[in-house]
Amino acid sequence: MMNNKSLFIAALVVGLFLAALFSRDGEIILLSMPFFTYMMFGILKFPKKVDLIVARTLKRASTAPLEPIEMSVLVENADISQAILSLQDPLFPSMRLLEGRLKQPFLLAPGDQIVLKYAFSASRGIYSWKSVRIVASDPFSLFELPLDIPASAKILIHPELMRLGHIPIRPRFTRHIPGSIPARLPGSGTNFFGVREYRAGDPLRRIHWRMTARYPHKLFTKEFEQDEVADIGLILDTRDLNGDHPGGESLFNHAVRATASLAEVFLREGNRVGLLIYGERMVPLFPGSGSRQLHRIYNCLAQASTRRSIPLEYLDYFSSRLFPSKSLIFMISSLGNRDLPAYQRLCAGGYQVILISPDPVEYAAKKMPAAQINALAFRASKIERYIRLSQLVSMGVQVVDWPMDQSLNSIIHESFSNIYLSHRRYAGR
Amino acid sequence: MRTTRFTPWISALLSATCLIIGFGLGRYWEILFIIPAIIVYWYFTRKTSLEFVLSILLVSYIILAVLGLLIQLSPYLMMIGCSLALISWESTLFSTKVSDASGLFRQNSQSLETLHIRDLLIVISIGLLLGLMGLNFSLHLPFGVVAILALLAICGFYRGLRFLIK
Repeated sequence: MMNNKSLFIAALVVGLFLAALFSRDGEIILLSMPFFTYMMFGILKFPKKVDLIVARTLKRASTAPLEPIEMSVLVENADISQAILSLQDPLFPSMRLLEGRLKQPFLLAPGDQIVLKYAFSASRGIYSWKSVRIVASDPFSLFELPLDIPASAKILIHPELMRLGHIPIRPRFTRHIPGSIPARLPGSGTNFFGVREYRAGDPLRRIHWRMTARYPHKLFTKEFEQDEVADIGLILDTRDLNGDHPGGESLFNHAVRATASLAEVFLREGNRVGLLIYGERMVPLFPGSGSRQLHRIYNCLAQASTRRSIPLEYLDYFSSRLFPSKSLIFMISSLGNRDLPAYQRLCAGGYQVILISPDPVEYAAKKMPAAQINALAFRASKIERYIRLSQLVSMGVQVVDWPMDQSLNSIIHESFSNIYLSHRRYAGR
Repeated sequence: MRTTRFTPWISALLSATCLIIGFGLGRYWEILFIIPAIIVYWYFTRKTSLEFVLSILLVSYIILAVLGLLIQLSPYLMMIGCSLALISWESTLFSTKVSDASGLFRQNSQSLETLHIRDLLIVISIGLLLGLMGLNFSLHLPFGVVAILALLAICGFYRGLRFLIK
């Protein structure tokens, strides 16, 4: 195949021919001889077919955003003649080259192999390669033979995690499997739960000696609160609620990061976690536990993106099928105008709902130039959001209002450590 | 590789010298203005694609060489100059492709560069030799024959190119 270079040389040769013709000067034709032989050599040396074996290797199968990822592309010449090749392995638009070259010409003798290495970083997503583009050419790269050789690889860039400590949740219902959530039941935990009369078989070290001393002829035993695991549902709202809002995409990325971090914390503590990515494209993931479930969640979240806004009413079809009844649901959403009835129905269905709501009003105000912010409009938006959150609190939804300039960890701990304070913040005024 | 690094500059310098001497012998010293012109052109086009900038320079060189032939300057100098300009153009483009090679590719690039410079010198020498030999032949054909031959050559060339493009 001809490229710009060979077309340019061809144009020069033709131009010189025409100039010679019009000027009737034979010496001008002779001026084109070096260009002509140069082009003819390219034609003669142009490879018609090249047999290559290519393999692509990624050092990791999954990683965090902006972490360096090393890619190796091995090329082996299975042909009987020497080949002048150029490897062209372009990056995806959201990737950044950190080290090495993406376009590298090289010479490969028959049977020889070479490994091209480069390092890049990428943002959240799943990236897959199916082939490698290798261009065989003549020594002057005048004529090129592009070859797309199958060499697949795939990498998952999971959402960047936020540092979250233990979240002191108190679900109304727990599964009777030992875990880390206080179950409001006597058992073998570590928190003091109460005192009861001694029963045969109780260990002596659990005898409550003070109470026993107070009531002679009777023995009393200390009870501890059973720690169990819970069913937790995470719902990530991917609806485009903010429209052309400045920093809308970034706000969504924060929500994705929060969802991934919550999943990681809850799964680390042994809970069963399910996920629903709610938006124009629903992605349900049934509850499960362990590192495999975490990987599945990362996989789903890696592909999450904001879509056209749809009503939250459709949530009813999913919640009952996906999450066990009475389970704890974490909704990560910036909250739409008409979402309240859906929350009401979730609460009525017996779910314990916690809303983690990134604050789009404050976030937009910080991203926009000060001159563009209308103070009245900003205040009205704040009041509107405040009213909506207050209504949710009165329905029984626990609200974690998340200003984006603060860490989610501190906001969650502040909200969960004194649930009544946060309740009073919205409902009491 | 040192040879590849200096080839573009040496050949560019020699080609410019050929042009200056050729025009100087004919007492067209205005050609010396080409040096500041090239510097100014380089300054204004330093941010554009190197391939484009070099191609414009090569075309300008060929136009000057054709003008030189038309005003009866030394065809030997013009032809040698054009060949050197082609070497400079090709080796500059090639060196940008293989520069910054590291590790395993550095060694590979060196063999590629050696092969490239060898092939380039052979090809241009053959072309130049053919051109210089052609200067010693003198054929006097009527214009009609020349026109038909030229048209045939261009058509053949065009068909060949179309075949290659396909």
